[in-house]
Amino acid sequence: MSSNLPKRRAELKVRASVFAALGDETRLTLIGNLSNGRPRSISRLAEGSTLTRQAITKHLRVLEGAGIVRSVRVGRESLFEFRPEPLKELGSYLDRVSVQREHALTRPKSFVEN
Amino acid sequence: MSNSIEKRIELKAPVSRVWRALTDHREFGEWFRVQLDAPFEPGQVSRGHITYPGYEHVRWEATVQKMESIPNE
Repeated sequence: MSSNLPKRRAELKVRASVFAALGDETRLTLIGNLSNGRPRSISRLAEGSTLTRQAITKHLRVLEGAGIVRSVRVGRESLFEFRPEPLKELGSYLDRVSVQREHALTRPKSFVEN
Repeated sequence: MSNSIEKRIELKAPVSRVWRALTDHREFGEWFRVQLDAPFEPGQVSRGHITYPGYEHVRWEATVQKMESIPNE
């Protein structure tokens, strides 16, 4: 096989950026708040947080950069909305990795038990 | 954070059969899907390439540290 290396590298880059975006407690909390699907304003998302609006916005921009959320302008406000695709891709990737590890054990088993 | 993965399985085969599958470089290569240039030798680097479909371009290089069996826990 000679896989399309530039394409694979691009996929890896995207996947790594999604993992990096998830690697923060505030951002995980924001994802938790948004993942029921309803778009929310920054003010709403900052409610109950000790963080400033500015800090919350910075985190939302990181999530936006990774495609996990997108912003929608409604009047003067930016609302943020969850996008499920990047986390679904991560889920498939993690499933594939763990399935490959499982197969790695069934092969020696069937080999010696034949 | 550890960089190893540990798994356990039960094999219905004699110890000698399992030992051969692990330490004979051709048998190992058959189930691990790697083609090795030479037998395993403790202290030596083992070289070859993966034969897993889709990964045939991936080179294998590993230093054999030791080959030993550990009595049952």
